[in-house]
Amino acid sequence: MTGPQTTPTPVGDRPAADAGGVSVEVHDVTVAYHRRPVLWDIDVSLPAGKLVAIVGPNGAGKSTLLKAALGLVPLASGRIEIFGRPLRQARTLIGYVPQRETVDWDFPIDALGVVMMGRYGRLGWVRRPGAADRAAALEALRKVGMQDYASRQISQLSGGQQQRVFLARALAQDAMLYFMDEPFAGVDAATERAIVDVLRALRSAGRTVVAVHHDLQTVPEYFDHVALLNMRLVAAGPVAETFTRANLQKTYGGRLTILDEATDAVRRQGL
Amino acid sequence: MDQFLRLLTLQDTNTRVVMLGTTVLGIASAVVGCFAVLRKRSLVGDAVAHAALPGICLAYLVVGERHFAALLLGAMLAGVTAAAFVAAVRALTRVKEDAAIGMAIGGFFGLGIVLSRLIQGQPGGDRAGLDSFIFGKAASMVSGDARLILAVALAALAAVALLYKELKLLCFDRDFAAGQGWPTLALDLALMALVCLCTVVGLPAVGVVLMVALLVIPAVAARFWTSTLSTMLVLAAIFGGASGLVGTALSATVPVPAGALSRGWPTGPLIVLVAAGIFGVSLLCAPRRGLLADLWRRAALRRRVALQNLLRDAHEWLEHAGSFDAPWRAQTVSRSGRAAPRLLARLAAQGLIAPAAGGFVLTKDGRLAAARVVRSHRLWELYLIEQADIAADHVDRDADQIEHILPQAVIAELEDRLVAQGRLPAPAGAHAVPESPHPIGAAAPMRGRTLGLLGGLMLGASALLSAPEPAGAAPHAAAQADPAAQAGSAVAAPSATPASAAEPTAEPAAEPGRRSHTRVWFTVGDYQVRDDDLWTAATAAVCSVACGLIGCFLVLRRMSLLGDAISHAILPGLALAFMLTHSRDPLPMLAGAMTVGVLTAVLSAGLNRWGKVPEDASMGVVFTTLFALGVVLVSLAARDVDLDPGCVLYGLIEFTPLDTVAVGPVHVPRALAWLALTLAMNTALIVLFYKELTIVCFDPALATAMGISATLVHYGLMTTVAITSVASFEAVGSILVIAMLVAPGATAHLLTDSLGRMLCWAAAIAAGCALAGYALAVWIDTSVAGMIATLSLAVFVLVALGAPRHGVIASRLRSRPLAAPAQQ
Repeated sequence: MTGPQTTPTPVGDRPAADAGGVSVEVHDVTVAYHRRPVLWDIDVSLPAGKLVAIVGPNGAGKSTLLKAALGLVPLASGRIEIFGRPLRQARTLIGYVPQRETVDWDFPIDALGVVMMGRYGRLGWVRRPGAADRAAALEALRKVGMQDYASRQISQLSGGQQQRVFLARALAQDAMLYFMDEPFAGVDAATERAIVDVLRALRSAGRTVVAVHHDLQTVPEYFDHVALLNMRLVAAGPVAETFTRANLQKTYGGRLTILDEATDAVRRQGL
Repeated sequence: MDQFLRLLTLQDTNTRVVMLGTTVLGIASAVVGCFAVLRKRSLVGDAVAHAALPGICLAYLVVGERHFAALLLGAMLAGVTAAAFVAAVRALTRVKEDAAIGMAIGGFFGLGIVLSRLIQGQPGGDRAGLDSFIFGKAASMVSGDARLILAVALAALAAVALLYKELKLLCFDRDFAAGQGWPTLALDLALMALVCLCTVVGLPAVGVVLMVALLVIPAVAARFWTSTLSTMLVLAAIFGGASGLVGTALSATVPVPAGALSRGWPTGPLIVLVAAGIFGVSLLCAPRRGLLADLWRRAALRRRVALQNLLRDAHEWLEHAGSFDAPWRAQTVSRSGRAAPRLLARLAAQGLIAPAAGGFVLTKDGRLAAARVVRSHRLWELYLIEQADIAADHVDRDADQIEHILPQAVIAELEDRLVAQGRLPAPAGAHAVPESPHPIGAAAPMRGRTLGLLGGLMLGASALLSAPEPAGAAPHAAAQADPAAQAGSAVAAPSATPASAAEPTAEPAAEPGRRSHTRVWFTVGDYQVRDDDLWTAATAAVCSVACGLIGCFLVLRRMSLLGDAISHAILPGLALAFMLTHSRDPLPMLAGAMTVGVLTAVLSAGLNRWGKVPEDASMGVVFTTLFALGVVLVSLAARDVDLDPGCVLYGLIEFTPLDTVAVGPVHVPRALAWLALTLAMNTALIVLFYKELTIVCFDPALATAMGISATLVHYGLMTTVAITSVASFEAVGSILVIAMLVAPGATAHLLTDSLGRMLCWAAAIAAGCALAGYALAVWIDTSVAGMIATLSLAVFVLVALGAPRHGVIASRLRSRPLAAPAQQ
């Protein structure tokens, strides 16, 4: 565990963010929910220091891929490496912005408290957050333009503000790699701008962002790199080369019926 | 035995009506319970049942005699009130349903205990009548009562028959039903009314504490055998009826241990245990969903996969060798290893291979079978490569796992498609084997890998299922080795035990002799407040605060009902530890209670995952079964000690000052000492793990992503709840404790938006309710624990209405100015 860090510059055992490096390496990963495979044999490397979009239709397994990379769902087979290390050794390098709906907004906690949670991972068991963590949390809130709402209870924030608080929490994690599950879902235009600015600032600081993204129109504008997913990987690469009509058609052009039937067979056999 | 059979076959004229009554009751509850379970309302039934107790007592106070129909009417009204309370809290406040149910269970039951004590204090208070409603006593039913039960149960069955289609739609898809124009709210209410009705008429036989089991267990058991609702209803009816019949007959015939409960076995626990037995058999043996069938299916599939792999290996080896008639050996063609002789024997027995010089040869059938396997394998590989864009060097392993279970129709479709796309030459015949899409030799080593798709799936499933052991348990056990001591002292209650609710009340106030030599601190009116009063009040306050603090996290994590389940389920742990060691050794007691407590959490989660039983129903099954077992064990243990089932219900806080330990110069009640230790432990744990508890309650996914194990924190919390319940057992029993766990936290949640302040509020509310509850209970001479639970609920209701920000009134007032301009 590294100590609390207030400066966002990579130090110590943190990997240098060279543009040519690999942030996430996914080897032959298959993931199943309730014995039903939702990701088949994904094999992809995502570059470091880039903004990466994961794009695909509903039920394509986009969120699942993020969760698998975070160790939130077990892998049926394969492995995932973060900056060339197994997940266990890379946890403090990763930040996470989950979907907004997954949280109990009535929880008795204010915006600053939520952002402070971003510091918990590096503190380890039992140790309490200190003044440095508080300063880092306030700084993260300032970056997303939410410093005036620090002591608001979270249910009293608008959807866009809640999303920005989540983003601030991820910033407070001071991670090298951020996983974001639909950061732009259901937010107002101001928040969308604010998020884009934060993403670009992260990129300039050499950080990597991997985001599930729904809005195909904005992919070329917001992202450098794209992975097209529909139960299996359709294509991955720089947006200019990969985000083509042909690849999109392949991604969205109907499910693979036989793959579905095989999935059903697996489930029916009760394996 | 003869007597048992006579009862079962309804030959005994004295008991015929009663037996018939409990049987039909079992049938009706099971049928209604099916809908409650499917509508995920199982534990509302529990709240309704517990709430019936104050209804019965109030009806008794109003009518002034044990008029059966009036008592049931009172129970019905109180049950409906409890259901309405739960619905209102869910709809109108930020407090979640589980906490509302927990408070209804504890609060209403507390009120019932308070009232029943008051009634016992009245001259001519006919206690036996009310007492039988707690654990059920079919024997105390007169035939008029049984006829009423019979009539009501039949009416409930008729109502289900009439509303079958509507209820089915409601349970399956409420929104669709609403879209079709069905009055879903009215239907929901009708279902709750039916649940109330069954619960209420079930009380005399099963009792308020365990009635929910008769709703839930038969329904859940029936679900294992069938996948159609109508069959499920019939099976549940059979299971429920059988439980009622056999349980009642058992209670009437099994000899009661000498010196134990003098008036025979309580019916409720026995009926529940019979139902639980049926459930256990269903869980294991049901043909499709049962655990044994599942194990067998998996074993059969593994066997088939191994056989097919061997066949395929042979086929590919022979293909390579150029002749399908050549002899081969298992060890040269495949890596099946030690299993090879068994597999070969099996293949030979099926006539697929035959021994020959130099090993085995494939028979004609064997060649066909092998060709079929290889064909599936290669078609699937081709498909993965061509259609799913999976690299050729990856496909073999995936194909390896899937080909064994792909239906032949899918294989045929695969082939057609690949041929149609020109990826494959038209097949020469039905069993033509296509070329392998990758070099066979290179791929062969991959085949032995066990962590392929299916293996991985199984591993994943078992990882999901195997809940980690509560690592938090060990330090707690060391630090808290002692609280079980007082649990022991509760089971082996001191000689001044006030017996059950059956005996006249024996309040400390009623023993002037003992009180006289303690100091009078001050007087309130003409009541002299003495040492014992202060000790008892302190015990109550410490217990309440210890529960209230840890309860905050139960409320926030929406685990209130698991807390309820654990506090019920520790009973058999305590009883077993006592029976095994014949001592009040604190360690075994604590170990027993903690084991069963954590087991409850693990079993509920396991039933939910393995058995696909809804979460609330699986808790209902586990804790009622364990509690019924506990009551029976406690009744058995009564042979050895002077033991009091009443203590299980509402504790013996009034008598805690009798059993003291010396702490320095002061003699402190033992219970207080252990509760103080527990409080210190809970406070320390919350302070130490504040950060972890917060993040796991708020966002378990983030916690896991950060490397803070949500599972570890979860089981740590459950262990702490179990320890706290054990420590509170002597003071408040194992039912009222849920009110103390949940109510302060839920109340505090309405008062503040900061977790730190919520904990402070919860502690203050808990202490206040405990002290005020003690004073009130002494004043009107009733059960202290019951009064505290009642007050906790009352304070919650007041706060829910009047809280400045989150109260119902405040939010109504706030919404008005917004609405007003719109109307102009």
